[in-house]
Amino acid sequence: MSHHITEARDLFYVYPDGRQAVSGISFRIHHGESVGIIGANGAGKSTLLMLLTGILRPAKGEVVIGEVRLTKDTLNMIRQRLGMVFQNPDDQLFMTTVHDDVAFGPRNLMLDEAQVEERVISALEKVGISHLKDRAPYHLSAGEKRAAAIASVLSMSPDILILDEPTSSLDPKSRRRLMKILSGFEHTKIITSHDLDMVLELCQRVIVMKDGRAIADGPAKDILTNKTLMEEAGLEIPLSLHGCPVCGRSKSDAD
Amino acid sequence: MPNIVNAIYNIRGFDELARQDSFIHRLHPLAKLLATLVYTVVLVSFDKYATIALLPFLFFPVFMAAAGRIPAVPILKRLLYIEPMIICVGLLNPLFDRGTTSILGQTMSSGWLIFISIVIKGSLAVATALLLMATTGMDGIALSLRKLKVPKIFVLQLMLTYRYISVLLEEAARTIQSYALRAFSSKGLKREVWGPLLGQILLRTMDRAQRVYDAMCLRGFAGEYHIGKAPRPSWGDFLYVMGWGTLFAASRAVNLPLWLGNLLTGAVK
Repeated sequence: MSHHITEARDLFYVYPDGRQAVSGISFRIHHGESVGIIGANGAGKSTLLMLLTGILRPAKGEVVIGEVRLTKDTLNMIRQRLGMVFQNPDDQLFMTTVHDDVAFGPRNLMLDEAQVEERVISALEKVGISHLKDRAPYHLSAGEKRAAAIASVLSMSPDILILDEPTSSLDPKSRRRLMKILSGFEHTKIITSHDLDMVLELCQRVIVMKDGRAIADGPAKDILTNKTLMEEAGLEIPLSLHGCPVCGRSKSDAD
Repeated sequence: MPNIVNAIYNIRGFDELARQDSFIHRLHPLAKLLATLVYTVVLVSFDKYATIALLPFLFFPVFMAAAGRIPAVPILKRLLYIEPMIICVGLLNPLFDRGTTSILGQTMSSGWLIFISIVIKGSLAVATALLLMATTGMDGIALSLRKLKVPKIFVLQLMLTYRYISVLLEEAARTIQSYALRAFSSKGLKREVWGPLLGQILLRTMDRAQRVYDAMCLRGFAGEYHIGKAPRPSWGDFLYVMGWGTLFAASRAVNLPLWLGNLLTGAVK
């Protein structure tokens, strides 16, 4: 299954204003893995995602997707394998109906209209918003918009899903619904988030970033329960692992 | 501030109107575009003094609005925004053309007659273009333009401009809202902040537009705006274009109101 491997090899990126956003990051993500990329604001998470998708070009190092090096020539081919869901769904939904937004990718793949329709229906069903297909994206709630943005990526049948802060600005119910949807996907998932409870629930592996560097990479449970490491990265351990605010008993004691 | 929010809703209002279902909406976009193009060309081909002869041309936009169940208010409101420009175009005629001409047996300043003709032609053309948007949608218009072999770069320019207008307005609304919340007593925008606010709006819009473009590229966008496959034109579409085309040509060849007037007065005599 090497064709689904995502690899970053010693990536560096410097913004035009001189800010070093990513400094020598390397990792290898295997097929079907769910990896959380966490870190404080400005740690370089979003820049890393942009490097992985080829929106930005690394100053040094390389991105390899399924043994193919990301270059100008391979960009289009690689982007068919990657599906990126942006932090703000309004950046992603720009057509007049949800249907047209979800069909945007398949139409760019030059599929015939019957195949496009098939993919649109299937993607909308996967995220449970088939009933919204004729609605205008700007009329949807934040949770519905997020689901539509995910559907617009799923319709491209990507091997790897990249999600930038998928649960931000969602109410608890929409967040839970989204997590249920995401946990049902068998794709390789790369998720950046500050919602560490969501990361704990959805990801088996976590990469912690600080000042553009990966300071830890390992099993989610080990990393997210390491208080010293989390504090060093400007984070806290997930709320679900905190003790009871009333009696102070830890969750493990209660179990 | 409410004006900007209203502008956003107004723009989206056209998309909403275009999604309605009516006889006009079901017509092939190309048929509607062709009928509108023929209408506009015939309309502007009239003599500069033509006024009464233009009256039959009122029927086409009225028909489109009625058959497409398009409310008159949003169309008239937008027409009012454009009207000053149309008036500016025709305003110099009464000043420079001091001659007189006869219309319906009355003597009238030819400058003013040209002005009235320009206002009628301009208003009808703009109203019809707005109705085309309201019954076809920008996607349908773009699809038809591509069918007419308009280069894709122009169609893309049109589509992206249309999409980015709302992006620009949203950013402007946010910036002005945050200013208004901290400019307690001042009315409107102080002149000193015009520059910084405009710069902010521009930079934020460019950032946002870049993200929208990135999202498009990540989903395979490579310069061609694929809108889907249009249905095949039917005989009804063909008849629609031919029917209106014939009517426009007849109205151009014969001054219908004058002919009808003569017919009626002749019958009375």
